[in-house]
Amino acid sequence: MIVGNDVVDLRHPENQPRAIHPRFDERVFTPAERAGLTHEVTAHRTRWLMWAAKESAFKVARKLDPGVRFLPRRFSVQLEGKKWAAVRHAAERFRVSFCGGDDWVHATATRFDGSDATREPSGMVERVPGGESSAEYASARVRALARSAVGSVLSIAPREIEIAKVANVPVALRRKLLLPVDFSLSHHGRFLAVAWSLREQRSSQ
Amino acid sequence: MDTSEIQAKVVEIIGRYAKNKEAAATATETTNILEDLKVNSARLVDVILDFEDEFDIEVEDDDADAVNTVGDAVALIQSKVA
Repeated sequence: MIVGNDVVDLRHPENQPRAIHPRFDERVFTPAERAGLTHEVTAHRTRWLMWAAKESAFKVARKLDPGVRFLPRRFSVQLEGKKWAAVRHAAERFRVSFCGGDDWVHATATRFDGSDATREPSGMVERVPGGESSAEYASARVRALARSAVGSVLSIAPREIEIAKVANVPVALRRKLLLPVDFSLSHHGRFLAVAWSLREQRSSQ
Repeated sequence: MDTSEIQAKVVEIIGRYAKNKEAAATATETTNILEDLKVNSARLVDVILDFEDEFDIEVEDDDADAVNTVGDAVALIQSKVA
């Protein structure tokens, strides 16, 4: 299963309603999506749920086709309650699950082809001790979480796992060989998140 | 407005959203906005909208997506204001 994820810190100053550009919603959401932002009480959370759904679906789409670009309005989101969303992009469909708390949301996307409908990738969200960290710390820490996650799935010591990027997509290597786990990394504000799943019918190459 | 003026304004706008303020202060035309300056994808939307406001231009989604570096932004804006 191919996964994509995105975490959003809902209390980060940069994404508060008065901090974002007045045309932000118009720029990134379809008219149907914007209709879900009319209620002041729920608009903030809904905005970032839909954004996280688009971003996480894009991460899956990019793995399927490296030529896919992140043009947010072309990833159309249909929220299905507070825990799920369906995302469409061109001919592809994606299923997104959400988890979160009062001050964060984490979206995990997979390609929707029917066969994956009853299976979910695994995920982990960590709150950074002491508040928002530097980009360098967040990047290093979220990779450490990924090594732990991949190691636990494959029963490999995390120290033997290297997280690298191939065509801007993170991959896990052990002794330069690709490990059969697909995963996605995200960090924002006070939160770090990893989603992962065993890659089926593929072996180390 | 000449290229250096556009670039100075572009760097100022991007700098508002850059997590890496040090890199923003020394940004050149080859500086990557997402990777080097740590501007996240949501804030990049704000950057593009600020370009529209500052230079009185319209940036299509396809054009916005092609902006990876400071130089890309300057070239795009130059093409729109010319």
